[in-house]
Amino acid sequence: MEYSIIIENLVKKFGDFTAVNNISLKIEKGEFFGFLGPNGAGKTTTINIIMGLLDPTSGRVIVEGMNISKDIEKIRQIIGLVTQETIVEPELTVMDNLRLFGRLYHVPEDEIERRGMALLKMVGLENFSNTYAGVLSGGMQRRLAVAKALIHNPRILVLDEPTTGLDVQNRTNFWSLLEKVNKEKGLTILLTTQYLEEADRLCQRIAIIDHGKIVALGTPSELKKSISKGSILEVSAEKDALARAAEIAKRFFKQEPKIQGDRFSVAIEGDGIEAMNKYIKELEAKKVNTISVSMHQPTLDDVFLKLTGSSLRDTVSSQVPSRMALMRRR
Amino acid sequence: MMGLARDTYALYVREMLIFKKNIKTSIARSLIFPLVLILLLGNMGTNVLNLPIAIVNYNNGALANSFINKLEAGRVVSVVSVTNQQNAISMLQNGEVAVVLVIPPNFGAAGANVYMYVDSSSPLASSEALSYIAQQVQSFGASLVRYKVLSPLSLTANYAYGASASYKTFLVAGIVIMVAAFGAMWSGGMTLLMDRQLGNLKAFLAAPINKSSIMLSKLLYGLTQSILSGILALVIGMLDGATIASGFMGILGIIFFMFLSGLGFGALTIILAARINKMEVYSLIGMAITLPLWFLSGAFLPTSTLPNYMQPFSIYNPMTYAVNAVRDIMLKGYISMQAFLFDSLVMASFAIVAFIIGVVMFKNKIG
Repeated sequence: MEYSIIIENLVKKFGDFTAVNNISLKIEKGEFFGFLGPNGAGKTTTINIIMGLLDPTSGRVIVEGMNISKDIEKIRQIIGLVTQETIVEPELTVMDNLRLFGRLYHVPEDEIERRGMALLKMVGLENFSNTYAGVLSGGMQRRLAVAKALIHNPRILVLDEPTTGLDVQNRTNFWSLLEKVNKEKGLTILLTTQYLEEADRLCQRIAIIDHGKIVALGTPSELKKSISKGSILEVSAEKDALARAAEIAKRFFKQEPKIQGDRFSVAIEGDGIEAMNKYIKELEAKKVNTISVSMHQPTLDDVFLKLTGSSLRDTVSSQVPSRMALMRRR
Repeated sequence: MMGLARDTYALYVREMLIFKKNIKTSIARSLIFPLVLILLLGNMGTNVLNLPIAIVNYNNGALANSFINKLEAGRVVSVVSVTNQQNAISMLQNGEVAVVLVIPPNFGAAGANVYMYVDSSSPLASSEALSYIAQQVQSFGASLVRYKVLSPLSLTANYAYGASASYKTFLVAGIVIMVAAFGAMWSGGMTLLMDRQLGNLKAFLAAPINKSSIMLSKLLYGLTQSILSGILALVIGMLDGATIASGFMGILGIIFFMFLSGLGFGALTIILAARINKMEVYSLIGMAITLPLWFLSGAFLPTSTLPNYMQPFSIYNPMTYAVNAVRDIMLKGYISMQAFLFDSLVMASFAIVAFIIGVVMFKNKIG
């Protein structure tokens, strides 16, 4: 098996804080690989180390057979990066964006023009080549960012939270574009995200990262099966009722329910519907008033919840205000 | 080396494209400062009132007395009568008066001369006031003989100018350099800070380029802005009446000092941007550095008018030398090679030291 990126025992400390805590993984050539985790999990730090923007405290990173500590310039030449903050150069036209990065990656001028037009066509911006990038919509800017990152024909495309802040429709379009790039160009893609749907849909393999550690690694379906071969039961109720319902669930399904605020979830093996019906009858018999009882197939969020004790959905939404505050400070 | 030049060029093209997009704002910003200062401050002394002059009257006749009365009647000058020519000249040298007139015993007779001593470095002795005096002398049938008086030499400034000093030219020389330094301030380091805050810088750092090219492109951009602002200020000044005594070569000399100022202060802003993360703090510290440097450089008034305890600040202020050099070029009909080389050397040393510190700081803190 040929590997595109090999990370071995990677550690990065900022003072007392360990941002990346002994990460090891191998990404295959042509693979669509995802880092899934909340903000502050260490995803961007890992990307920055791969790009040579940060020095690791210890550990080794090999990209296409080259060590980042020796051949970082050559490595940068074969990676296309879509960073989290900068999407594009807003005060340059779409084509000038491509020209700038083509030159910075030492692509010959005539090649930049030829390849630039082809890339703009691929991302659907061929009619906007003389438009200032700053006036494009958020979704168009992300697509331009991808074209910009591909101008030097890289072998690896690294995307750091590329869809943060995009609406659902733009996000779906962007996903199709990434799938096309991965298939048609055969690029290795490394994507970081805090969105479960994104990782689930795009990535062939996912590393779930929390507090600088890989807590799970596998294909989306492997990860989901690791939780339960059956379904997930979710119950929400008032405080006292919730505790009693959880008590019953524990006895019923022989598992410790994961309580999160006003609800808990528990995995059901075997025939879910029958088990749920029995459970509801039991609740009625014991006069436990619940707000809702529902059942669904395991999702990556259930995986995350089981492994880390907190839901990724909650972490993401609770972080929205702090992200806003951060943006305002700028 | 080739790689550095190529990467710097690519990034400089980016700066220039952004500059071109915002050209109106850039030019407006370059114009407002010199326009306000030159038009308001430069024209403040046009209608000179009560210019202090000393008159040594060796005639004491009725005609001489009516000459003095007529001179005073215009309220352009205020006359101090002095009996001794020696005393009058020392008053002139102490800056108590701007002009000394000597009325000869034969005043009123044919071919009589009135002798005028002028401290031409005094910004008060404007050409308007002097031509008023000459006009009055001629109306009494005498001719005026002019002498220039040298102020006592000070460490900070040598004002023995050949041409008659006009305050406007004096002021424009100072403003040209200030605007050049400001131009670098608001472009080089400032946009570096913005690029870092917005994250554009990260994309450049992740590219396979020589990192020094990022700093160099910012410096070049700062220089472009410096020279453009400086030239605009010079044009405004000349449209308003400032002159360049040393002609075309003088213009090249002025651009040379704009270049050195832009380079030195541009590098200074890179140092600031490497240390400071917030735009507000950058502006504050930038202002706190440049404004005092400007006032202490003698851009508005001769440094000899500064209180004694401030004089050292003026001597160790690189801007003083750039202002001095440009003022020499604009006011003197000839350029003293020695003074020119000295001013160039001081400015070049400042630029080189700031540049080296800038490179080191940029490498350590950013690249």
